[in-house]
Amino acid sequence: MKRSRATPLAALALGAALVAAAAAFASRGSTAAPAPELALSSAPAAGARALVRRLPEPSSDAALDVRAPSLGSTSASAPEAATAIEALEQALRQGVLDPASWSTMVAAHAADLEAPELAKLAECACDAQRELGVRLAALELLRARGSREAQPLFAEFEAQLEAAAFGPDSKGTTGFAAAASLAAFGGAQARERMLDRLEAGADPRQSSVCLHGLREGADATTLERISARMQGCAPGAAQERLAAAAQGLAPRLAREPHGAELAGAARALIEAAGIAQLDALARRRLLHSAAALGEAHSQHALCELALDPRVDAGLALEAAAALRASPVEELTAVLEARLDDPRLDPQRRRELAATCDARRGGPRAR
Amino acid sequence: MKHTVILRPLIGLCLLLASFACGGGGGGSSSGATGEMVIEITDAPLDRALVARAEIEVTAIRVHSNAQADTGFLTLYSGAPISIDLLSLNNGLTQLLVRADVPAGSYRQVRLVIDSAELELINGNVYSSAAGTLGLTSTGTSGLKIFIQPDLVIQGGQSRTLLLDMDLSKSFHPVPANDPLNATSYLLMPVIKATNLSDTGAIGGRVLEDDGAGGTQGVANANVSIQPPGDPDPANSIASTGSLSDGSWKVIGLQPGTYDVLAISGLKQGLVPSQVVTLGNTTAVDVLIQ
Repeated sequence: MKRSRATPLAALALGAALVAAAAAFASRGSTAAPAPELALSSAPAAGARALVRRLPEPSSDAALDVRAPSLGSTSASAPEAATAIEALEQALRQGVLDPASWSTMVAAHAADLEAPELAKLAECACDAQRELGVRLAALELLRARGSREAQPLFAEFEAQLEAAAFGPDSKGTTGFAAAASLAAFGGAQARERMLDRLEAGADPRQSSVCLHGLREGADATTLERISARMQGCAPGAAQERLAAAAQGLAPRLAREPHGAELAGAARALIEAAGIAQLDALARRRLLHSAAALGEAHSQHALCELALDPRVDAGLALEAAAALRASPVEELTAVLEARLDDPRLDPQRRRELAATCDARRGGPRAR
Repeated sequence: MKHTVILRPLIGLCLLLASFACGGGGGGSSSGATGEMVIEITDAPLDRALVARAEIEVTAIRVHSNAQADTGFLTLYSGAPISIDLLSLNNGLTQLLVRADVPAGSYRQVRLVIDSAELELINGNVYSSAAGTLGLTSTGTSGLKIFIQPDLVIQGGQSRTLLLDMDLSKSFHPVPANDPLNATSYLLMPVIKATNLSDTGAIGGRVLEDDGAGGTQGVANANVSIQPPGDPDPANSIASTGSLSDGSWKVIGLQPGTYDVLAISGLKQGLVPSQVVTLGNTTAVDVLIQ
């Protein structure tokens, strides 16, 4: 079954070779020698306009100058998949980048690539003859470009990634990268196993890797799965870890184009936040997650939670505070208009006013 | 190392540089329009219980529109070493590195040429690149590669400030690793985050502890880390800084979002989860450690 899911990747890879070959041919004539360096130079204390002058080219960074001949060469004016893969693979080998730095590096390299280069990445990622680091680098670049739906994994590769993320030899940057790619391209069962690990919380490092992976690679359905797990999860740290995964993921999803799935995810998060046996911090994280999605339904639902006198006061106050996390700018004006709602008790009014102040960056005379 | 630049928040010493038309790979567009790029630096110090002084010297700053590029840079500065006292860049303070007119467009890479560095620990041990006891990983290269993500987009006639946040806690590595105070040498592998200040918010407050008389008091030199939600490991922090003598701290240049705030001082620590940072605002957070 998993092999059949991998068919689109193989097909894409075949097409990739053709597109890449055509693109390489087309760009060959236009690939100029590195442009001469234009320089602006002045001592910092000079305080005067400096002259534009040419400086000698700095020595090349030898450590970054490793090329994979089979993927072609590179130039500054024509970013190529090969260069990006090599740079990332080297970083994986060194293993010293923290997860945030790794994500930044991947995103920066991915942003440079043209569409034909993405096809090369797919070709590289599904090439079982290549080393794991090279394939993982290609996969991470695809993930950063939002190509996740079209790139299901072969079962063997999925198992390799899972071992790299959570196996006994998991370490360094590779573990975090593998978890992100696993969450993005692995099957639903792979993401469920990540949630299992997070819920169990047996190993702090594995929890960190899970949180990073789910934050970087998961989708809106994961938010619904997290919400569903809250009901059967023992109150306390396990709930809190799962809710933290939702909180990390929600803002990321909000920045990407989505359809109706965010509405479902927001609804599920808000419903889960109402579970009586929920850990207080988990409730806060779930409500913040719903607000951070920035989806219209969730903003409205949170407003109603905050305002409805029938809602438990604790939940209502958390909902009011959570609206600070909403990326919807217009919400501040909407909340301002609701501050005079006669149904509001003084404590809720104060919390909503504080939310408005926080969103605006300072108090307003009322 | 002598100080060549006065440290001041967001002003420092600035350069007025000539405008020029786009050329080479460093430029972001070919429209001929220019905008201003300002680069400042701040830091996030490693455990202040160990470090007395940490300085680096920068001799060149280059930018490029392409994250992968190794050639064709636009050089914003090249000249006398700019000395940076990393421990003083704290609590939202930044040091201006360069101010320059650049072609309008998107920029994705900064190269920082660090020529020398010096680290002094509280026991008086000094490690320096000049003495060979502090290794610089970028020596002999075209500079330390720093990725700008998301792109720094500069439009004609506009000014944008790029903040370089150096995380000391992840940048200086003792050799051997298990005894930082008595290490035979250190390796500088700078972890620097580049953010567009226009797109960020800040978070700050005080680190507090029980004063034994029913109140609280500020804690100096505590390490404050901005953590991804739910991850309490400082090694995975998004940014970090140290508290001042009154316990106050501030981290600038944070993408809007929700973070956990972790403060550690010796064996004491405190975590304040789920703090929202909004664009252009400073979220107030006090952390009680115990």
